[in-house]
Amino acid sequence: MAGITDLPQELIMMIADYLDRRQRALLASTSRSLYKSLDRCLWRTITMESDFPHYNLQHPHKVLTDIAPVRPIITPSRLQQHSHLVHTLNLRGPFRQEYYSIKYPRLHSLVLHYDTSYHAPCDKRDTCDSVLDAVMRAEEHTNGANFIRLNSTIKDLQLIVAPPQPPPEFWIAISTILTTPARLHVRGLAQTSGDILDAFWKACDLFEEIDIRDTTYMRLPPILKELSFSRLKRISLDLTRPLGFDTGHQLAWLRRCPNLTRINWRFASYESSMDKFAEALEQNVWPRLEDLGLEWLDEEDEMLARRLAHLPPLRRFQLRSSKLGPLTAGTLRERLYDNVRVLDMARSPRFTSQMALGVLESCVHLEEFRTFFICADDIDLKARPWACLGLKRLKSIIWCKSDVTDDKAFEALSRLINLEYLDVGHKNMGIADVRYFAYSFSVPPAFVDHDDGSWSLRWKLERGLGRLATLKKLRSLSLEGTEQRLAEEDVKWMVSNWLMLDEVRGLGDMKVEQTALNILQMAEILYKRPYPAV
Amino acid sequence: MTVILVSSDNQDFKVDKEVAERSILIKNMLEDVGESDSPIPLPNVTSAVLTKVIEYCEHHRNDPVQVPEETDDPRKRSNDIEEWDMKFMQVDQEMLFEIILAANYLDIKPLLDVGCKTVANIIKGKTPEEIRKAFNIVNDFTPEEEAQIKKENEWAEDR
Repeated sequence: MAGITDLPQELIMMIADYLDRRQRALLASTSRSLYKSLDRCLWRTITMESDFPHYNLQHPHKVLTDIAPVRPIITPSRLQQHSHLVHTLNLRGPFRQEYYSIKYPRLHSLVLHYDTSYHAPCDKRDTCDSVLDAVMRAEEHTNGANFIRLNSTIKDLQLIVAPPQPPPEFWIAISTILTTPARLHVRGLAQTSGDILDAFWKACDLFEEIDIRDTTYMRLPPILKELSFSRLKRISLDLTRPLGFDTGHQLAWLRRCPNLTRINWRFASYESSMDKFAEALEQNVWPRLEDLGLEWLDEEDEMLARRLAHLPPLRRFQLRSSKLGPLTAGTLRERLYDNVRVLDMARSPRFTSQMALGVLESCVHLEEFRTFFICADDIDLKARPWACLGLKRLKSIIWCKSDVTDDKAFEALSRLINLEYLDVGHKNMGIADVRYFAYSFSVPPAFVDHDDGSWSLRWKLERGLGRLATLKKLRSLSLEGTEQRLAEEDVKWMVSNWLMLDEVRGLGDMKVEQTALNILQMAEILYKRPYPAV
Repeated sequence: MTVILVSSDNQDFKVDKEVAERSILIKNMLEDVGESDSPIPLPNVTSAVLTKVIEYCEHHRNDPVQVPEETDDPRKRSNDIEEWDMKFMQVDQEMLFEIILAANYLDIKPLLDVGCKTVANIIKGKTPEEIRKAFNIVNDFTPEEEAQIKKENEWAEDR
């Protein structure tokens, strides 16, 4: 007689494709044969938090009391037994030495998160011993280095370090052992100099992608001149308190990397090496550059426009600037619009509705567009039809000045038949925030006049929602923070027209909330409520 | 044009070629032998199961060939079973798994998908004990092993 346990592993895995992680785990815990069939997906990614004693650093009175481990950790012998199945390992906090002696033959991705809220176990409860702690933290780095020596297959390495800094041995292990290093993400490097810094930069020299954040007091060592960085293609720098490794030094490093295709650079607002960066763009220092993100440019419109005058024809561009104006927008149009696939202006609040519509009307190749807001009243499809018909992702607040414009906005959206992700909400922002934000950046006053969120596009059939039946590929919709009042019929319509939909956010204060939730649940659509207003 | 399929218990089934070719296995066999009247033996499929499979292929004879969807989302949906397929799958469990095995052997991807979705839908929302009851699974774990697996599963992340 055929039963589920008679199915071969491949068919069990096929069934598991339709289950989420929790359901898979439950199925695996029913019998040995099913566990065996599913162990491959159960052990693929392991994330563990240390069971060492640790403080609650969020305690309101800064009282250092130990909190219990989240859950009991997996024993080293069980990890050893399944080590061949593990591809990704995330370790947070210190672990006993045995945990660092395991070789995972297929390990691709390792996250080591050094967390100073953990301390060394000691005899007396609720106390700690700083000497023991210092020993423990030094051991953590030795253990980490030993672990990397055992696991040469690691491609992606993410390190969140805390004082004391990893010793040179740690970085030497990385640069001498890993056979196919690809991505290195480092956070929290501080007070590094001498041998440590040399070893760090030598390790960096081997990767294709580097992301450095939250790093302070780091000098630019002479050794940089000896390294070629020929493999390095993608760099992200987010050092708002660089102290030592300032933007000038950062640019000097960027200039040493000729093969970059992607630069994401966040500046410290009080420093500016922008003119030198503009010069590098003009000299075509990075001939393969196609992806550029710049943040915190505090320059006035005219200056900013001049800095960006030599932008290459990028595929992706992101700009965060508080002072951008028509001149910069004109430069972007001239340099980018013919070619750009991904444009992110969402954090430049002075990128106006007209400028945003200019993008939608001109960028034929656009696949993703993020902007602060679009005013539905500005849409004029007859005179200025949208050209970006391949658009897959759109994020923008859509504001309707008058009652008649909802339909206009829905009509425009209905033409974007390739849309998969649509976010017209403003995550983490209540109405008051939006009003303040809009006010600060001189968004038209009507934007802020309505207290009830009625300035936002209303996702109701009576307002023209039905036009969006053309969005057959829509998978995710976010209305977060827009205070919608959807009715049961609106939710039903969404579920029956958008068959690919599997996530919605912020349907809001639904009058028939329970019924609407039931509809979403039946259709297996994940519903996330908006953030509660503070 | 028709072909003759022979089940494991030696029953002959005369079906249109177009219907039989819903099975990629049979389609490839026919292409290999060329024009031929010789019956095709299917030693892994009983007549009861083959009757059901042919019923499915008859109903879906005009469906366009399924192209694999390109998607980065690992989670697949199981709530999109057509009404006819849903009724078709209302069989006892033994038959359900026989159909899945046959669809796998005969290489009929849409039928295999519907079968897997149906099983996934039975699993959803159930506790391990309820899953065991639903599928007659014997719990052969010791209580210690069960506790250990429960603990470890908490650390297993989605792919």
